Amino acid sequence: MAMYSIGVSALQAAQRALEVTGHNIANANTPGYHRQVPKLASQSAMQLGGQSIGRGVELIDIQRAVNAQLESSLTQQVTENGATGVRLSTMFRLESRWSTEGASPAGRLEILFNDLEQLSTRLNDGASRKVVLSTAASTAREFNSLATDMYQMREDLDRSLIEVVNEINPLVKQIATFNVEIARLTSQGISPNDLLDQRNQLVNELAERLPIEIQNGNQGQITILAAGTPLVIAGSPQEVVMGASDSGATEILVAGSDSPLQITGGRLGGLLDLRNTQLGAYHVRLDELARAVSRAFDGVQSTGVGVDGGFGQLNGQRGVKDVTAKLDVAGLGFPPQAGSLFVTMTNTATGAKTITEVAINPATQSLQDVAAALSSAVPNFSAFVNTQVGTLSLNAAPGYKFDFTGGVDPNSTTTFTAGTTTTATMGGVYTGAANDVYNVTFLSSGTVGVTPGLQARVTNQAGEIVTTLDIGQGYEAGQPLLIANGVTVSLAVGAVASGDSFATKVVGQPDTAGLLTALGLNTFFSGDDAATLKLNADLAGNPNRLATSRTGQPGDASNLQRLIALRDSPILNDGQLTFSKAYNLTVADIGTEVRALSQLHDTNQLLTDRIQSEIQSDSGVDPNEEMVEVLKYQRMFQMAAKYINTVNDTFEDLLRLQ
Amino acid sequence: MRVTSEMQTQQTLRNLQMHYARMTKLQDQLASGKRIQRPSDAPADMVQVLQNRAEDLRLDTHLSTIRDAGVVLQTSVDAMTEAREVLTHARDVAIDVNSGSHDPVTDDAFAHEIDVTLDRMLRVANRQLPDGRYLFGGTASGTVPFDVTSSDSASRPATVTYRGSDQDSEAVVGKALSVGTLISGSRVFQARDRQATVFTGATGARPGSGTDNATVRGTLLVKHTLTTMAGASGVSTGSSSATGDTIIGPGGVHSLTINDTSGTGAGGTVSLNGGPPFTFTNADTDLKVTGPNGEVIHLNTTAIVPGFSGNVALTATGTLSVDGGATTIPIDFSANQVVTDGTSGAMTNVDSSLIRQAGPEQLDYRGTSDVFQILIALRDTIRNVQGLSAADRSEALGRGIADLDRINQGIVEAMGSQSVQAEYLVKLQDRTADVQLELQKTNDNLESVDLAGTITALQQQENLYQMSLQLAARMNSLSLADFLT
Repeated sequence: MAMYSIGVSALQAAQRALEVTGHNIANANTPGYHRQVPKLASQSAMQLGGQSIGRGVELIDIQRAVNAQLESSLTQQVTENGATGVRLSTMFRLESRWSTEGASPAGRLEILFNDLEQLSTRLNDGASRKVVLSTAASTAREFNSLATDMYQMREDLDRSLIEVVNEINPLVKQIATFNVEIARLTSQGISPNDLLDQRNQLVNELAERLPIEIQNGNQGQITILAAGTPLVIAGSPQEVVMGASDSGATEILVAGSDSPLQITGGRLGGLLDLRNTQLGAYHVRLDELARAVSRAFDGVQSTGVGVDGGFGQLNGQRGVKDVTAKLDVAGLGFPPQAGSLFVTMTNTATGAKTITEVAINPATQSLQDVAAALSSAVPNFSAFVNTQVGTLSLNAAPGYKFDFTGGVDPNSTTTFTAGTTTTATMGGVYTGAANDVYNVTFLSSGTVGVTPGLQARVTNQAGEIVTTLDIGQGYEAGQPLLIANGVTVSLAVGAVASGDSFATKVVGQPDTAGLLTALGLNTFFSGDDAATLKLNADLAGNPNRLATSRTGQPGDASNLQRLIALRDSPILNDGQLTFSKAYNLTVADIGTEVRALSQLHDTNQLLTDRIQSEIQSDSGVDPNEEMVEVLKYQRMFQMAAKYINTVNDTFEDLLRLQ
Repeated sequence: MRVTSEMQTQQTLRNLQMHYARMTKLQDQLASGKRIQRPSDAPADMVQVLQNRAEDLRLDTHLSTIRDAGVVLQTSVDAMTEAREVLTHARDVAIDVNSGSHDPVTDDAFAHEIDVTLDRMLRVANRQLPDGRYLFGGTASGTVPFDVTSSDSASRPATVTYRGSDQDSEAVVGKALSVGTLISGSRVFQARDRQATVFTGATGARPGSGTDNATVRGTLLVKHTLTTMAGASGVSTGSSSATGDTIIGPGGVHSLTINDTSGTGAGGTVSLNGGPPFTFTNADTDLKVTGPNGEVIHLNTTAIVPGFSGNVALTATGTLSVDGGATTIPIDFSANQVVTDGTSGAMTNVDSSLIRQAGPEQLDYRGTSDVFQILIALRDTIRNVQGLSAADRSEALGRGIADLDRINQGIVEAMGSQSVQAEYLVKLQDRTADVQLELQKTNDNLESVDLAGTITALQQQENLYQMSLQLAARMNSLSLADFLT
């Protein structure tokens, strides 16, 4: 009867093989499916009459067509793809936001400078002043808007991180579950091919989210590690959670652990890098730009005056956190430095001016100390601290105005003997940028405007000769003589004695301490970073305060020109970049990064395609091939049936023998 | 290598996506006309494009400020042209008056004409731009530059004061480039060119070697203080000598010639500086003797030494003052004496070495008057309010005409300066427009799409896309199953 059993074994084997082939055809388009191959083998022979007689065929295994090396490559590649993908999408967004033409801070800043240049031809036009201030306000708003969007992007990244973490934990659990089931089937000697495929699919999904290391275990189980920390061990999953470092950086931890996972790849790694490093770096650049703009504009605005001239009162717009703390640790956005503040007081009735230098040292002075120093040093002037908000208010006595325009100190320090009866009057508009002292010494004795060859020598603070003035015969007493940088001196009728001298301060930097900017006194902006930058409320409410001059005269554009000059001043990057260049280079840096990421993304896609093609080549289902297999096993089945029929006929013939 | 249908499908999809993406990008480029749409398209070029776009807008602003500044300069030049016409008219009037061809009764009409001219000049000097700025106030463009600060009894301007600034107002017309637009009126209407002060009078005072700083006009008062006689002639100063003598000079410059014709001192003749002899008696206590040049001395001849005949050397001291006698200094007969106005502190240098007579000396500080002072002086001279002699009046008119010429020259120079700037602005405008055009071309080259190339590329992509679609449609059209029966 072995003949029957041989035929039956063939029928059964063909039927199983047909089933496997059908399974392949059915899963031809199932993601992650690996072609299965029925493995047939002859059944062990029986010994009969000294002969070894075969017993038919049997399906000994259903093998999964898998190339472990390619599978590992694909797992690594999807990790890379995950990181590149999230980086690219966020950087695309960043690129779009930073390069929005006409609505970028740099674009508005350019318009602001254009408006300022236009104002130089329409100085007394109130409408033009309002246009400038309106553009300045919109420039600040563009900074605010971009900063807000950057914060929004960071929040979106945080949300994405939460989503990814929420995706990782179920994946880890499912893999652990598959581990258990695969081990159970394997222990029963069953090939868990479909479970392996499904687990493999989950592993790749996990790898797309974070870089993992896979270790093979017993009975088909795998251990998965992330950054050296196990996430799955056999049937035990580990939950990952999000946390925050002391510096505000987002961290990923295994639940119950204090040590953050150093994840550098996959979507999670990409998001973490964007959230904690890259986005922050661009935000820092934005803040640096906003602060540089504010500091530069504030410095010029605060040391000029508008068409209304000096001030009777000024209220600071930037405050300290503690009015008794030393200024360098008082929480100012723009801490001052050791230097001087030159306060100009003008008697409104006579026009007489005094310039008083007040030393500022933030390491030793608190806001209250500064207020006291100003009040005691400057006549007809007082400074008060608003302890509620930590700001400084300045007041002039009735009949006086104050400003911080510097210029030529009209009050010279004289070293005259009895032989000198002339008086010197300093004048002009100082155009120099530095603070200096001009010393004028008479080289011989004589009468101003009378004595032939009478001269005076002018030296600067460094002792260098600036010029020599002819003040004798030929000089019309009282007429201004140019010293340098727009400064003039006129000598009245009278005698001069050889060696007598007088000295005059010229102030090009009235606030070397940066105190006015630090405390927001007559500044252009308030706030101290991109998110908080605003047009100074006092200025917004009074366009006449726009400091276009240093004399208060409506046609004086000297300070306006200083504002305009900021446009081409290399202020950023240690004096290498202008505002717009710094911004545009950041845009270019973002563009370069996006371009590099796009190329990397394309390359990754190609690599992934190639690996997948190779995997398909090994593991994919070819319907034609499977159809041939179907035909093959169909024939095998038909042949087996025919064989059984033949055997049966043979037996029937035997039975017919009477 | 095995090829599966899944591989075919994936490959086809990838190709379709690739062609479609490329086609979309090309379509975007064609629709927008720009090759660079995002920084990542060409980061380095994008920086340049952004810079160029900003520069383009900046050049637009410069073209606008150049136009604005040009309008101001042209208005300024027009006003100065009118000022010159006003000056020319005043000059013609002064020449007419000085020619003496008119009846002196018409002088008042001429003076009135100068007043009208003065008024017109004031209006020109205080001209405003449509936006209210004063053309000739410099940086003090919001203040009336030339203010009538005093008037004469007939309410005619007597003093005009400049309230503007000495600094020109500047407008930005380019990168680190500005031009002066609102010129300081002091440079236009107050051009100074101090020359030697002119002394008009008979005192013998002359300009000193020092440099004056008094301006416009003034009067030097030379006063006599004391006369002393040398020798033993017996003559002495009369009772009016201190106030009435006009002789001034060091010892020996002036002399008396006494001839006691009576031989007893009772009477004789006396002459001053060789002038006509005056008869004296021993009863004269205040005999006025006049010299050949009108100089006067008062003598007491009551004690003439009997029989005295001869010369007596005289010494006469005096004082100088330029403030009407409020402040005086003694004459030291030196080459340079500084006489100071006690009120203004202004200094006049006087060569007193040749002063021989007391009296007023009219001072004309040449080259220091502004246009208004000149016109006011002309008007007053035409009316001869100073009471000048015909010759002095003519000379004063002549000096006024010369002063007008000087002011005219100052205006011409200021006009020249403004015209040069205006011309420069025209060239700058052309140059800026050229630069802008070049910039726009550069930017076009940088960011604009190559139409021919892009259309061709798009056509190629469309063809490839069509082929991919056709392949996709036919991909699974053949299978082994089709041939099995």
